[in-house]
Amino acid sequence: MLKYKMHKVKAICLTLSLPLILSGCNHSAIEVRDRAFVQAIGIDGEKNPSVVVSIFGNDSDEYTVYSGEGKTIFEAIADAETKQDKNLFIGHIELIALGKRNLLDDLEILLSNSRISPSCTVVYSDVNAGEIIADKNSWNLLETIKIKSKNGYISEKSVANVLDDLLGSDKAAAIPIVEIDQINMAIVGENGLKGILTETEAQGLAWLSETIKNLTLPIELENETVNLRVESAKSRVTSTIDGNKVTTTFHITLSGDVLEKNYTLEQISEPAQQTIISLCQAAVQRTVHSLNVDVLNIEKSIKVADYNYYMEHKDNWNHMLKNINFKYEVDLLK
Amino acid sequence: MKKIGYGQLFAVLLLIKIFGFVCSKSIYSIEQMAGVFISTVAQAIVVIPMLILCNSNRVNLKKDVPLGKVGLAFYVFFFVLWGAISFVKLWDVTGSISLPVKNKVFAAFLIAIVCLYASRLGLKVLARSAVIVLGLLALALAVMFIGAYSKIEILNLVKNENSESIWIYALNDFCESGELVALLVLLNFTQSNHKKGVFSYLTAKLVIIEFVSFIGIGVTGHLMQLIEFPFFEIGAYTQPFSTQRADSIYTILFAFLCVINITVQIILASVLIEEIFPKYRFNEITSIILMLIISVAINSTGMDLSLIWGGLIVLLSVIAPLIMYIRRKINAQVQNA
Amino acid sequence: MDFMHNTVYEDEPIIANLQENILRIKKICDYSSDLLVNEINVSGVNVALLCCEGMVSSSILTELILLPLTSINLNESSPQNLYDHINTKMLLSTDRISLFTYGNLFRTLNSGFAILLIDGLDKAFAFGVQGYDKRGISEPTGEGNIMGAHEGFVEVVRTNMSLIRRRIKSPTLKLELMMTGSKSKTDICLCYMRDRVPEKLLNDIKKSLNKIDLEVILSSGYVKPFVENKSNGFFDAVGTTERPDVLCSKLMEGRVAILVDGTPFALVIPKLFNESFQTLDDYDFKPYYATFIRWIKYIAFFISVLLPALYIASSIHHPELLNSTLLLILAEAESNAPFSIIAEAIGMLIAYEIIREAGIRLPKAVGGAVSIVAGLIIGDAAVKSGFVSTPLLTVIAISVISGFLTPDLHQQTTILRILFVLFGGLWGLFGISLLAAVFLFNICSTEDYGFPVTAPISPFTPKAMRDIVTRINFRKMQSDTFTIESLKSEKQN
Repeated sequence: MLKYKMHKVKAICLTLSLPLILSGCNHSAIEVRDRAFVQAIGIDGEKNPSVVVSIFGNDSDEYTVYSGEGKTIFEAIADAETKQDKNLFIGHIELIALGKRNLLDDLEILLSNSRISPSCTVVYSDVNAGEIIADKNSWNLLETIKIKSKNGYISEKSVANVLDDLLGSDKAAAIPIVEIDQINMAIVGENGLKGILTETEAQGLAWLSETIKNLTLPIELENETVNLRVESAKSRVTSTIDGNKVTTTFHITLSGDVLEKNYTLEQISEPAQQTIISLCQAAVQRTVHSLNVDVLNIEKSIKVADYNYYMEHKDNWNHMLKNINFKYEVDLLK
Repeated sequence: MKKIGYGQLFAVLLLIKIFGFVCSKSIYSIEQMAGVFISTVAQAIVVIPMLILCNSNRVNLKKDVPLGKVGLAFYVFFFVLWGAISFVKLWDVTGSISLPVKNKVFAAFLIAIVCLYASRLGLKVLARSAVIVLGLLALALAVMFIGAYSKIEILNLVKNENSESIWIYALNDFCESGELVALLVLLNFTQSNHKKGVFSYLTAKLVIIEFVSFIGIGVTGHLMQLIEFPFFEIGAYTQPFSTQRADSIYTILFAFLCVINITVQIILASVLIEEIFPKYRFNEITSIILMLIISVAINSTGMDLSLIWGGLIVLLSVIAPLIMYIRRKINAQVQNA
Repeated sequence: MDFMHNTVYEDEPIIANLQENILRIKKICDYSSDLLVNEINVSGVNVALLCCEGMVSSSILTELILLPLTSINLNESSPQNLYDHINTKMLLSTDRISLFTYGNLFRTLNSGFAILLIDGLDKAFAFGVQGYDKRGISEPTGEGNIMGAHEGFVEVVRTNMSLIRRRIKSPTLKLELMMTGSKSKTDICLCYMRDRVPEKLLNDIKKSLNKIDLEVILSSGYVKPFVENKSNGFFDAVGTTERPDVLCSKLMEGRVAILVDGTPFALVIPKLFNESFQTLDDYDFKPYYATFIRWIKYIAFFISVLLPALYIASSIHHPELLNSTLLLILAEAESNAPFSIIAEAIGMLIAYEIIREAGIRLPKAVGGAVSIVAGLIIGDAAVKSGFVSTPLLTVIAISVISGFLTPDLHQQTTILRILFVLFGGLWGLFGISLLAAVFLFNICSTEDYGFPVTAPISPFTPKAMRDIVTRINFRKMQSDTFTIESLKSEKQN
């Protein structure tokens, strides 16, 4: 009888505690219909940020844009939220356009607490990032970046890639730059834009730092131009240190075939290697020698080769960078 | 006395260690990996007296523990404090991984109810559940590896100038190994093959931590210095699919690890309370309430317990078993004489 | 004396005087209309043949009992001589029992036996000439199979016993009949392999059966709670089956089966959770296909229980888990729905349960209309009117269909689905994990007579896992005889 009574008491306590438990439930839970999903964001303003957000539409042609200002990025986003009737959700952002701001701080803040995915695409604008998002359809912009990256004209960079570069000794990163009617590659540092790469230099950068797939490379022969279909290409950088002499070698391994049937791979192998090397040399010349930045993981390769040497010369990194010898090895596999 | 198998002992120890590892804010580096290796070797040596004690004759907790009931009370205090620290870790992590429960105390209350229910079912049930959760852990690690495989950069596997020294990491890992203290109590409930269970655990723990650290270093590179909770961030960086994010799935693993971890502590504390006060009937409830109170106190005052914690681990896992071992040896010699 | 409630007769010895005997019997059953009494004279001795109307076969009764009896011609007529003559020199029926008390008399009479009372003797004969109408052996309704036998148990325990005996001809198969139910006196049969069954398990089950103090046992469900150790286990620790071939395979593993008269469902003790995903067809198909189907079932179980909850949790709390295209479809579909997504989901699940239950309870002729009305009209109308969203309806449908792959777990799947939806909606993946942890602990604590339901996964038994992860080859099975003895709880090892 006592046992039965105890069971009854327990059951009553549990039932009464249920409303208590459920009352702690999430009243702030937002239904999916009450959310607006941000696809792209443009951030400008050197001191107080202003943002322009592009909301996903149901079609690639549909997009809505809102702007906001505030003392912090999230305050600005909250301000943009007030311009419409839904909660802005930034977890699905696919494109971040940054203006003349401290890129490192901005990306760090956005990435904190896993608010955005580290694989968001980042672009830079030297004029107005918000205008890019407002004027251009962000769906199309992303597609354009992907296609150009696929063709080796630019390198698509994610938040993780850019942050990794910016946290290096030279605090510089290579990012696609969106101008009025074109997209190029730019080198951006702590203090803003350092330089814009030409198409040749950008292609060289892509060969040196990206994994390339399905690219068509025109090879200039004596009398004609032949096309090499590159199925995949990977690059690797190693450094050797001999006394005070640092030699950095870029190893590129690619596989592909000739599109023109009257030529074989062996016939165009050497011209192809030369073409690729010349692209790479252009990229190295511009980034390392001209702009004095390392966006090619040279620093990491030197650390791996001789950590102590790196630590000794870390404070004089820019000088060390300029005195590196560069070599290129291109292997063309069938 | 209820019994668990050596495989279940392995599962329980591993899961409570992995919970601590998952909640750690320490950055992954080559030095950290080396430190963990050294700490594991040290732990392998430290457990030997415990294994000898439990192999020949079960440890009579009331009689063998130094200072008798006072010594047992120290162990109770340790497990209650461990539970409290686990709740504090839960609150720390929820800030970073954005749990859907906004009120942190309510999240702790939910976990406490589940842990209380589990602790009432006993150690045998917990051990069985741990074996199944081990499968979930293996799955999570496999997903992590599949996502990370193509993203690991060998160039990132280099010394980190922001890193501490190897010995500091070794000491930190040792002083985070509360399961060494739990081992003394758990071995009493293990049927046989203690050595197999314990050394398998140490090996598996080392392999998993090194594996995850390797992936973390390889994938994040310079970003490691920005990361608050490396384990969860690795989940964010190692997405197997490019079109969506899978890091929320680690929330599931975290919840299970948290429940198993705190339940172990409640059970061990209540077993020892029963040794001290055999007639007291509310061991589990008392343990969990004390854990919650202490955790709120730690969280609100922000006190740093690392020194006390490390000291307790050394005292209860190294010194106390050594004293027990020596006493038993002396008693045996006296009896033979 | 109120004869309606008179149970004093249980141990009352049979009266020797025939007329008093018949009167006593009539008074005990209160002159029940189905009691047939035929008084005849056999070789100068008055006898009476009693039977229950509709329970005996008239032709068998005439051929085997009446004709032989009337042809008896004793040299010295006396009740004892007649009894000895029938007992030692006449067969009459293969199932023949001597009765000494009215309790046994009524038990056999109401089981379809014909009772022979002899004037002057305080004992009676019971002849097994049952001829009551019973359902023929047919394919079991709930456990469909492609390659296996199409025979299922019926409501008569003795027929079921014969179905088992036909399949296992070994003398080590023991079928032990006992009786439970103070009023119903239901026959239950304990089946086991003497050389395989753990002795402790058998003794414990017998003790549990002896503790049953019910008045009536109408189905195996009445017996089940008494042989299930833990009453608050969410998952079953005692299995049921309608198939004799499945039962025989379980008996060969050392399990104990209980057949209950009046129900075609046999109980099997102990039950393991993974058996809910196994069918006999698995052992008829090729191992690779059987393994594939088994894994489909494992996945289907999780889909059935978790898919709606994961859908709701990711919509409300973790939208980043879904890709952008899916998310936009979802958002657009939900934008017009008048209720919250949790309310929609729970409403749909409850509506499905109403339709399903209606389909079972309605007469067959009308039952078909339910699926048309419910599925086509209500479902289609609900979506078109905007009451529910199409993605959610699709998710619920997939979840429900996945649940059909494991009918054994139907009860648990139904409740779990709703609970997970609630927790997922309230607390996202965190809530789902906590609830999953609770049920994990619950199932790990469920054991029957020391055999944990989660075996051989936990406690882990590598040898037995072969038949969980894959379907092992028969050549391997024949070399290792697996019994449940190896799955005993850690405490008992």
